[in-house]
Amino acid sequence: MTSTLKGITLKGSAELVAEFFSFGINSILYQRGIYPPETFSRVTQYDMSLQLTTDTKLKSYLTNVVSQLKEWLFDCTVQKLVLVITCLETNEVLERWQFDIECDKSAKEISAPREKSIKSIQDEIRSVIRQITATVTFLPLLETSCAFDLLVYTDKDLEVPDKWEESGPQIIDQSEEVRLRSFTTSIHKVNSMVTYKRTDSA
Amino acid sequence: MDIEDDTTVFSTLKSFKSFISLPDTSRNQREPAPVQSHVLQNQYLQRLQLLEAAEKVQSKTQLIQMDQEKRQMEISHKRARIELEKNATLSARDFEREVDRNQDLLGRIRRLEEREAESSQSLSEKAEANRALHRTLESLNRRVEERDGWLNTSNQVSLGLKDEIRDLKQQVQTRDNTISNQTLENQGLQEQVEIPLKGVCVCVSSPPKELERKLALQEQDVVIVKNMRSEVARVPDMDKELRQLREENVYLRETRENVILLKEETEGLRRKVERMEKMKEEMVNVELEKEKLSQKLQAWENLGQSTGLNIRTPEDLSREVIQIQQREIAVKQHNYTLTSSCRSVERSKADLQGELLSLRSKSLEEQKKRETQESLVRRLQKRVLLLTKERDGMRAILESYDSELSSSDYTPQLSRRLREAEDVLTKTQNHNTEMEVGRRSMELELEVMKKQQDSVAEGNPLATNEEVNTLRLKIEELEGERQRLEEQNNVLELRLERHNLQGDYNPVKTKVLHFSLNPTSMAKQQRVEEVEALRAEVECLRERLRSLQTGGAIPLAAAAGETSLSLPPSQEVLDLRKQMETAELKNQRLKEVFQRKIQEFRTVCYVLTGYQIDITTENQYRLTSVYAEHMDDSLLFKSSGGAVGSGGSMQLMETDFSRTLREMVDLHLHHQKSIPAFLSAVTLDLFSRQTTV
Repeated sequence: MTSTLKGITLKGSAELVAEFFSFGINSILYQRGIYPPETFSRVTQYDMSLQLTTDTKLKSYLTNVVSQLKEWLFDCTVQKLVLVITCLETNEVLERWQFDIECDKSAKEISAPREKSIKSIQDEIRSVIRQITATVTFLPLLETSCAFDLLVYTDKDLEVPDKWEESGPQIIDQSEEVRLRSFTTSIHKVNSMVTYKRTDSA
Repeated sequence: MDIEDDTTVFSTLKSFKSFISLPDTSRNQREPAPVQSHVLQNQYLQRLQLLEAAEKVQSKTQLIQMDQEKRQMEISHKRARIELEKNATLSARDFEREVDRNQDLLGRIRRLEEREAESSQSLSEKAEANRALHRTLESLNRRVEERDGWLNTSNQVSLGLKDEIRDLKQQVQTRDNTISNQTLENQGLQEQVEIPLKGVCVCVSSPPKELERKLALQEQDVVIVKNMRSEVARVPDMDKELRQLREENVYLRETRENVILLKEETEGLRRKVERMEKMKEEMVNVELEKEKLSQKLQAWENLGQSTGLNIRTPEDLSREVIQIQQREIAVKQHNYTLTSSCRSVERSKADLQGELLSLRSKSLEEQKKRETQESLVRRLQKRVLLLTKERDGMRAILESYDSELSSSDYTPQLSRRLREAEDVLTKTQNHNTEMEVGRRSMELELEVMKKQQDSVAEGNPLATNEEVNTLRLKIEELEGERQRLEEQNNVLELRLERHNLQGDYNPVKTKVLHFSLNPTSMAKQQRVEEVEALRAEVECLRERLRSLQTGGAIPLAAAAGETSLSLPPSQEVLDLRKQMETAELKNQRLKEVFQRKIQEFRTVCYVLTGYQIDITTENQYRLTSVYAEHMDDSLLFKSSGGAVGSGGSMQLMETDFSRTLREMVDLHLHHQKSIPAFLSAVTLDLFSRQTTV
């Protein structure tokens, strides 16, 4: 863990952000009920209790994506991470959880660690995850069975690794957008927002 | 010289100009015509003067060139002098170095000569040492020989001594023999002595007292004689022993002396032997040394053969050594000369490089100076031109002064000439300024623009108002456009933000990637697979149904045949089949039971009531009596209105048999309205008919 080091390096920042994504995605999946709650187990992270999936297939998928994401964060080639929730019956996109990543490219050249305490970063991450949990109150219910997908917006010239392919942006038509909190590690800044399909009853 | 004149003319012209600066323009307009002829003359004169001036300028330039050449010559002279001085210093240094080297070499030569002498001395010493060694060798050899001689003599001595010992031994033996002879003689003598003693003893025994006394005395004497005898007897022995002892003594002394002598001799011999052994060892060592020395000598002598030089004596060797050293010295000298020349060459090269650099810098400076001077020359040329023009003007003025001595007013002519001069001046000045302004064109334009603006603003108010208005309108339009564009920009930014929130992206810069095996695609795939599986199951089930509907035996075959299509027989299916079989068995049993019970009930009814009740059609009942005369005699009842038990009435239908019973029908059904009474009446009637008939 980077908690023993004094400053934040590019590598440490990439690890922190990847870790946040791993836990954040798990929280969203639990809160939105994409997977049954009995497949999640409670863990403690960022001084709060979070849910982590125990499904092996899902775990392996998440580790694959997060590890590749960590590499891209280290190279500062990733721009956004989007969690798309699709209804399986109608093949419509119902929700989009979008995380914009702004990378300070000067950290790549200058290898000196930046002054930002791990605790403050963790506090910011905690507030973001709390807000994600709170947004569930106003989001429309997902009554049909849904599946999720993770999209990564990267630089155009990036070499596509195997097992990855290009896809569309999966944009929702008739959507409502809500901007959520952001956090920064002084090298990477992550802005969160959620977009959901406007329900006709509202 | 001319320059100074031109400067004075210049100052006067300037003062005139300042005096007549204001009405310049008006005077220019008034007198164009008379000036023309003067102008032509002036121009011709000016041209002549220009030519003269050009010649002068040329001469000046030549002068300047000469000056430059002179300076260059001086510079080259200086350079040559410096170079010569440097060469002189270098040569002096070299000379000093040579002198030092000479001294060094002389010192070395001396040292080498000393070494030579030393080496020769050492050689001679070594030769002497060699000789001394030879001598020592010889002396040692001599000593060895001497010792050999001594050894021989000692051997001889020892032999002699041995002979003497033998002789002495023989003598001893002879003496022993003599001693033994003498002892024998002693014994004889003793015997002789004893006989007279005995005679003495017999004579002495006559008187008894005296005789006794004499006896006693004689006894005493006898005793004494015995003692004496014994003693005398002992005397020869004693003599013998004495003699023996003396002889032995003598012999022993002799032998002792001999022994001492022999011991000394043996000791001497031993020492000699030891010395001889040492000598032998020394001889061996000396021989070894001799061999080594001879080997060394041979090696020294063989040097000549090994080195290939004609060396037989140490002198040759020393000569060779000297020659080699000389050669070495020569080579070293050569080496030192080469190194020194090399160093000097390097130093000269470095110096020359430094000189080169300095010369290059100097040449650059000279070039710069030349350029500056050329620019100066140009400026001077320009100045010259201007000044010649001024001078022409002044000359024209002066000539006009000389030519026109009329009483007309000087002042208008003067002023006219002055104006002409001033025109020329201004023209030249303008020319000058234009030449200079060529570099600052943009700034002048700006200044001119500004001046124009200022002049326009101050001078022409009407023109500026219109322009200002147009400009203000333009400004307002632009402002409006800018605001509009700003609003548009804001709107577009909001839209962009919205799109960004929604997830839009710039396809030129970004692309969207996702994992190939992502949950959505897997879920969709699963769904599709489920749907297909369900459809297949449905198809299979439909076929089964159809087969079931067509026949009972077939479904088994069909099921057997369709095992590939239908779902495999699970445990549930087997249980259900068992349940079904049991249910069917139950049904069958129930049916049998019901059948029996119904049959039983019907027979009981028939027996007890006497009527067999059959249901022909819905709500129609046919009663046949036990006592019926014919098989077809039956009563038909119909129930109307719902179920029979819940209030529906029974009505009798017309049959052939019921026609015969009309009276009873009327009585029991129409009047009494009781079907059981009617039926019992009919039974009684039939029974009565039966029994009677």
